[in-house]
Amino acid sequence: MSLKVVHSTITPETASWKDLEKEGPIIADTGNSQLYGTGNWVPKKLDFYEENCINCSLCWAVCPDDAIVFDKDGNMVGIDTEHCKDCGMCVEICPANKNPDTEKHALVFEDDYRDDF
Amino acid sequence: MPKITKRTEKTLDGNHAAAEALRQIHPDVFGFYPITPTSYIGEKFAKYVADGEVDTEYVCAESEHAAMSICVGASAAGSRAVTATASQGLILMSEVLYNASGMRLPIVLINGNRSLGAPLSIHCDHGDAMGVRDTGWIQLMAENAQEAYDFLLCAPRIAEDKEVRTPIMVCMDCFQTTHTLMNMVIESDKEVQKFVGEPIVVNPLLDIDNPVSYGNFDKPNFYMEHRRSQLEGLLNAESKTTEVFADLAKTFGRGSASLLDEYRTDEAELVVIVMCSTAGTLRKSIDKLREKGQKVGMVRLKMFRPFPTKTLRKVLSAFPKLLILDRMSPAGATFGALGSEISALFYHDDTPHPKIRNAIYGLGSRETHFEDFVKIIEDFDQLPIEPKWINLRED
Ligand code: SF4
Ligand code: SF4
Repeated sequence: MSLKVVHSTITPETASWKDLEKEGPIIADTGNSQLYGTGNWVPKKLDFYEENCINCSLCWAVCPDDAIVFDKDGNMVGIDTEHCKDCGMCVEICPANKNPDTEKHALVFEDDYRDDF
Repeated sequence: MPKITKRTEKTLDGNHAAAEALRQIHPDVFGFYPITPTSYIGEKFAKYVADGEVDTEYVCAESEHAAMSICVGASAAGSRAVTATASQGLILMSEVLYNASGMRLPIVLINGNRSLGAPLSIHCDHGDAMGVRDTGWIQLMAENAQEAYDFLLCAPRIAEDKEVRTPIMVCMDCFQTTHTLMNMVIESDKEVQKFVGEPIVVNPLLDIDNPVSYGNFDKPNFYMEHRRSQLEGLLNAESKTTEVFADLAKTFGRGSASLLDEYRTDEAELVVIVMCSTAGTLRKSIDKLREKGQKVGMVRLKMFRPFPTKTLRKVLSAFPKLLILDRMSPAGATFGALGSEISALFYHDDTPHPKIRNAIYGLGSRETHFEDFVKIIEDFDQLPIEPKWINLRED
C-alpha cells in the first residue's frame, strides 16, 4: 500500500474556510498547544502571591497545562492565564496553602461569580 | 468464490455481488456486525478471510456503533475500511457516521435499505438511508445487484479523492436487491484492482514520523469554517462521481456518466421520480401508459447525497408534471425526503415550474404493482397536495 502523505500547517484564526486543509480538521503539527489560548474559558481567576511562595516547584510538577511560569533563576513568578484551565491541582498541592492563615497562601482562586447563586 | 481471472457471467443476488466486489477491492479492514438483510455480506467475506482469499483484517464488532467506530479508527490509521449494515444498524451507527464524515475518512458502507422499528419490520423501505441523509456521507442508490457491484467498484475512488475525502454509502433495497438473483457480470480481479487502484491515504495516524491528531476540539472561531470546508468535499463528490461513472462505462461498458437514469422522457408531460429497485416496476408502468399514448417517463436518481441539484433542475424543469415517489414516511415534513428535495429545486426565479405531487409507497415492503403506479399516474390531476399513500387501507 502506498502512503501519499499530505501535511497541513497551523491555520491562523483569520483564515477563510477555503484556506483550511481540504483533508479535514486534523492537527498535523506537534508542539502546538501553546498556540491555543484555552485558558480564556475559566470561570474564576487564579492569583499568585509571590511573597508567600517557597519555590518548591510542586505546583509545576502537577500542572497538566504547563501553566506555572518560572524565571531563569528557578523562581516561580506566576500563572500563565492563557493556558491555565482552573483545575486547582496546584492549589491543592501547594505547601504554603496548608497554612491556616489564608493571608499566607500562595495560590488563591478569586471569588467565583457562581458562588453567589 | 475463488479468484476470477476473466470477466464472468454469474447469477448472484445483491449481497453476493457486494461481497464479490469487496473481495476484489480487498480492503485492509472490515468492521462488521450482522443484521438482516446484509448479514450475508459479512458471512461471505468471513469465508474469504478463512479461505485465505483475502488478508483483510476482519473484525467482529459487538454492535454496529462499534463496527463503524472500528472503521473510523482503521481509516484514520491509514487503511481502506469497509462495513455493511441496514436499518437499526445504520441508525445505531449514526453518531459515528457524523464523526467519520467530519474527520473526512473515506470509509465505504453498504446498506440494505430496510424499514425501521417500531413496529419491527425486516422488509424494505428507505427510512434508514433517508434517516442518515444529513450525516455528511455520499449516498449512491443502486437499482439492482449489478449496479450495487458497479457502484462499489466506484466507491473507494470517489471517497478517497483528494478533493472529496468523504465517506460513501452504497444503498440497495432490502430483499428486492440483496436477496434477488440476477444474471450479472463480475469483472476479473485484476481488472477491478486496476480500476479501483491503491488506497489514497492522507495523514495516517500510523505514520509515527509525522504525528497527527484526529477528532480535535473546535472553538466557535473555527467550527463553522470546518463545517463549510467539509461540505465542499461532499459537493465535490458530484463531479467526481460523474467522472468515475464515465470511467466505469468506458472500462467495463456498463452504466453511464450520468447521475440520473432517464427512461422514455422524450416529450414527456409527466415524469415519475424514483430511487432504487422500484424503477424496474415503473418501467413496465411507463411502457403500458406509453402504449396508450400517454406521454409519461421516469427519472431514477443514482445519487441522493450530494443531491444532484444543478443537473436535476436542468432536466426536470422541462416537464410540466412531476410525481415524486418516496419510500419513507414524511414523518411530519411537507413531503418525503425526495419530494422535499425536488420541490426545493424550483421556486427560485420567475421561470415556470412543474406541478409537483408526492406519493408514499412500499413502506415495510407493502406490495406495489405496476398497475398501482399506472393508476396513480393516471390520477395525477386529482391527487391532493399532501403526500398520497399508495395502497394504504383508508376506509
Ligand atoms: S489551576 Fe491547574 S492548570 Fe491552572 S496553574 Fe494550577 S495546576 Fe495548572
Ligand atoms: S507549590 Fe506553592 S509554594 Fe510551591 S512553588 Fe508552587 S506556589 Fe510556590
